[in-house]
Amino acid sequence: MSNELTRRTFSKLAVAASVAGTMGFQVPKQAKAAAATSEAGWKWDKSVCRFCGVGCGVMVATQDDKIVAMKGDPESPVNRGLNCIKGYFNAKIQYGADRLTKPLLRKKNGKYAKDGKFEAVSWDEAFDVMAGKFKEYYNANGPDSVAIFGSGQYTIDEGYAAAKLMKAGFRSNNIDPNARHCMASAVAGFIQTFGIDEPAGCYDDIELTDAVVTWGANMAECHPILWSRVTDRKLTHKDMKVINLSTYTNRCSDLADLELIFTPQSDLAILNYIAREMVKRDAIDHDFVDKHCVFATGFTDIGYGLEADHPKEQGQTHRGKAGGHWTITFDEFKESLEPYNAKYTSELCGVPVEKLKELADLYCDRDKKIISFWTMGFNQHTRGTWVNEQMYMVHLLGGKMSKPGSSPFSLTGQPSACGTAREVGVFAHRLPADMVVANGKHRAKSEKLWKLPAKTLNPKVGTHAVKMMRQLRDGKVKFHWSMVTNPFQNFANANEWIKAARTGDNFIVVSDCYPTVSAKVADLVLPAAMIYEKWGSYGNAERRTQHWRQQVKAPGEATGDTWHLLEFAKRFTLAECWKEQPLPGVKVEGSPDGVLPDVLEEAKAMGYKPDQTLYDVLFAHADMKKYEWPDPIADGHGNDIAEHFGFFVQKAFWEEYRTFGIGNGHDLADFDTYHRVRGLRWPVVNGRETQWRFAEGSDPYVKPGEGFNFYGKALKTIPHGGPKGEKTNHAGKAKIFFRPYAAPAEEPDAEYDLWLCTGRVLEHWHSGSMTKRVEELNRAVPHAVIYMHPKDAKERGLNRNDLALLESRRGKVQARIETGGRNRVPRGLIFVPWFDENVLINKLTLDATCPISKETDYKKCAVKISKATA
Amino acid sequence: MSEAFSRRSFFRGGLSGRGVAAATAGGLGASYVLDMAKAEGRPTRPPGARPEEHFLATCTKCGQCVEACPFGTLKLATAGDEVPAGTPWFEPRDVPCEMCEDVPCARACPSGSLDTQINILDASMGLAVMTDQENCLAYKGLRCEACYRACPLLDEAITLDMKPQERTGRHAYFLPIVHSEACTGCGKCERACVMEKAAIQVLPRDLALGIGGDHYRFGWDEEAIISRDFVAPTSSPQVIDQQGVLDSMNDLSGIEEAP
Amino acid sequence: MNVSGVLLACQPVHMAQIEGAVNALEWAEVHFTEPSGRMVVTIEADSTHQSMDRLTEIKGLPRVISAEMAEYRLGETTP
Repeated sequence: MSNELTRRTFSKLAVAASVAGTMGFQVPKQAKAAAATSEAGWKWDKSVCRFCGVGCGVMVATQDDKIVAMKGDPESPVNRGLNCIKGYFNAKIQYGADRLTKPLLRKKNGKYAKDGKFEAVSWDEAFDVMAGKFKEYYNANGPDSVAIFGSGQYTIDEGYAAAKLMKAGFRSNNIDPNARHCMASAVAGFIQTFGIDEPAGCYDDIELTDAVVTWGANMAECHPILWSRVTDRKLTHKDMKVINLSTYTNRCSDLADLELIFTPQSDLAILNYIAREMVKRDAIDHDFVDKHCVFATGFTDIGYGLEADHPKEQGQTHRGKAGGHWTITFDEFKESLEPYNAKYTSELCGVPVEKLKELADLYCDRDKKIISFWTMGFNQHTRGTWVNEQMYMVHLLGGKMSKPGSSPFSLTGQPSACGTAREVGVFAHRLPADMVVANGKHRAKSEKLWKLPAKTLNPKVGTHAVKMMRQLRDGKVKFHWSMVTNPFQNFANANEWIKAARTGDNFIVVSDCYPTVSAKVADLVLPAAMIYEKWGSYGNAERRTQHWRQQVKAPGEATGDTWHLLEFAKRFTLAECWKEQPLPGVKVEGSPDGVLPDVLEEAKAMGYKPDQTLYDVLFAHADMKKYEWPDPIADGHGNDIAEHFGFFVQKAFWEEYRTFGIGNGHDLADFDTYHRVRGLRWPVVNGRETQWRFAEGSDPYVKPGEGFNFYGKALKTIPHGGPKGEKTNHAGKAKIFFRPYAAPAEEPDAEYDLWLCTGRVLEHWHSGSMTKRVEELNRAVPHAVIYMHPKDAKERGLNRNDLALLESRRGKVQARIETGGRNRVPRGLIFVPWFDENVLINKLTLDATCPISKETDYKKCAVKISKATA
Repeated sequence: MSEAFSRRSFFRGGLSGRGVAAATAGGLGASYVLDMAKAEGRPTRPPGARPEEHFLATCTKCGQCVEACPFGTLKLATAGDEVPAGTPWFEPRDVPCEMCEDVPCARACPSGSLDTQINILDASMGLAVMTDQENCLAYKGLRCEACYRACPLLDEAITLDMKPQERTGRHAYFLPIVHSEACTGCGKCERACVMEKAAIQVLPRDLALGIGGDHYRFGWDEEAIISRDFVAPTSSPQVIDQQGVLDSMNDLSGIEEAP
Repeated sequence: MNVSGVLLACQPVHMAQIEGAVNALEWAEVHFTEPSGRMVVTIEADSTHQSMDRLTEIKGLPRVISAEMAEYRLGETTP
């Protein structure tokens, strides 16, 4: 080779290597600093961050059964070694001084008493009392009287165990997760539009897009690492545009080219305005729409998910059929949009016409790749399902869907709202892999995979979260067990439910790691192991499933939630649960109305014995036990749950669980694979993950030549022209919904004259039970404050830092006023974060929900404020 | 925006734009300054405090400002402190100043050592300084910026400078920058810093701020030219010593090898 | 001779095809690929203008989602 050639080759290689290095291309050869002597005994292992739905990878170092260090995982494609400060402090969340380490039971004179004081008890006593109370209510009132309130922070195996115990064991569908408060509207939007849950695109879209529009999503604080990626894209691509839509100025506006602060609820109108402009300017991707979409609409008089006697619910004829919808023609669609012109929309939302136009210009630009991000501003909305569907309306019209860089992306709040709550189906109406209890075929398939007698599964949809609390108050739900969540802090209208729990004829169990508000309200508290004290897995917002190993033992007698569930299951026999059960409202073929049939005879025919426990049959059958512990994949890590039960519980559950999704659009890889990779985005077919669902070339479920295929199966056969029209199947198509504007459930008036919006801050996670115990985070943001416009404050004689009394029709709290700071609210609106148990803001919020998704609107209610008198 | 806020903004607007007087000091230099501050007994004083010498001369150690502080921020120095005993001060890392709009501490001062008329936005208790960029989480690329969000004058006293992170190729840095014109030294940032030892700390202003040469103007910042009165160096005009120049020119010692 | 480094993105399924097409260009070469659909390409050119034209040509290859200049080095070797 000539010198010239050598030089050229070398020079090209140098450039290429430099680019590859900069772009995080190859696994960077980590110049691993020689481990200092003090770190010599550390064992590093990969895991995930405990907090939000972004799903950052972390590395955990342990020594002598203690977490000694933590770092962002440089190999994680999500965060490349970075974390936000919550992630930075993952190592400390388990070491709060007030960890719960023993079961605590309210007792008086040595016996359980509702009005007793908490005393430490043995696990045996805890389960004896707990099973006793459960049986008391279950035997007298049937499967409808017991309930589990689960979580989008359950590991996948915990969610799976809870759902299976309730649905297959107790034959009750009264299990619902806190994800009901967070993602239910997103789910309903996905199912109604695409027939299958979860986003089509992925985080990689950020590095490929021309524009990001945030709608009711304070990504800068609530999805910090993803926002870091959006910011990088913006900084390195001059033409990249960022638009922030919100009801107050948040930190996303720092980066935005354009900010639209709109009147609460008017997002419904803004989206219709955009669609109207797209139609008017012919910015529609006709080929895409013709081939892959149909137009649809539904009932409008659907109410607000309030209780039936509420004035707002009167005359709302289709409250019970809120999700009903049918196809319409393009012309009908176009005509429906007609009222949403710039003038009308601008008046409704308070945004100047020019700004609206600039927003519409972006969505109308055929050449622009756009990501729309949204979270709780859309989901926690009395028309949450609608507004999700409207977002898809805009993207589908423009063909900006399932294409690299173009994606309507529903962000997730919790680390496993997707992986556990949604994919496992820890909802009152769901089964794993997007199946539902009301569908006979889905029940039959689940019964087969779970090895249950036919007709074991209960076809009646259970109580969703909000209804669960209302029924607790009404005395219908009598046994309430919450796990990995803090319901008495996170439910709207909290006073009602706290009172019901403390004074009703009921039994409240809380599995928790710290003395949270909910733990204090409970009758029995089960001490729970935290994330790195157990094996587990989470699924993030981009469909990425990530597993981790147990790193350390839990303190004292605390155990994983799976352990709580399995030990409880040991206390019930098939004879107690699979007998004939009264269940008002249920209809099972071959049985009288209102009765769940006895399935014991068929169980016997299948080889089960009536005195076998639910644990034996659901969780420890031969196919489960073949997953032995120890297993080489553990690589020296412990597994207290497997040690206790004598088999590799988490692996066994995983392998059974994933049979639901295989071939069904929800394919997951085998257990061991996830311990070797940095997560995989489902569907995972032949070892390959999927970046863009529904798109040929990326999604294995789309055949060559199809281009796109919205293959989700749910709700594809619908009537045309109206609820009673002729039904047609629209397999493979997505629906473009027209949804109108609807007034909010409660608005400021003369007395309660301000909007209250609630949300989060970067420093704290949810109800603060973990982050408030990290001294550094607590010091950074010690209290929730009331963000208020300085003129609104002045008018009421209030100054910054004044202690104020905040009241709604439902409750009151005191907090200090902040007229500056991170959130700049417009006049007439205040913002209060909900992490602070000393400012229980949910005592004020209204339990109105989206009537379709049953998700609470935490963003809109009416309050008044005055100076607190000491 | 309140009137007081806008007045401050107006005043500042005439001085310079964002980022001109960014108060960041790095590593060793900053800790040296901190040590100096301690050695000299230069504590963070209540808002409206006169210059330290004047303050010490007039303060009667009556404690009325401490009494008036609604947040327990202010305390009277005791014998063990590195501060003259009996004088009011605060440690931002423990309890920062909450910047009450009515400044009750200063209003209560009977001796004139605190300016009773002080507008809290004009207070100058010190200056927040990024004393340790090397260890600051934001400068490492993590999403922290707790100091920024804690700042009562967010986006004025502390702004974020966003820069791409080359290492990951897909994330950005969010770098807090303190602006001396707006910072009152309240210390909420120092309190909020999540590090074991704060990487941003309040220092006496005169110790914290550098002074640039009067001879140079930042060409892109016209405001700076207009607002600062340029005074030409006052030293007498140079008298050139011609003979000295010639002698020096003819001196080849050390250049030419000795014969 | 100028050398520039380009980050190219495509759908994973089209990688082989695009890699072939790029390598077929006398002045371009694929150096690194990632299963996600990204690759690092170098372009040789005599002038900045020519580099930009050649980048545009790569952008125009069928099924290329994006191709962005990531690094540019002048006159590493004489023409």
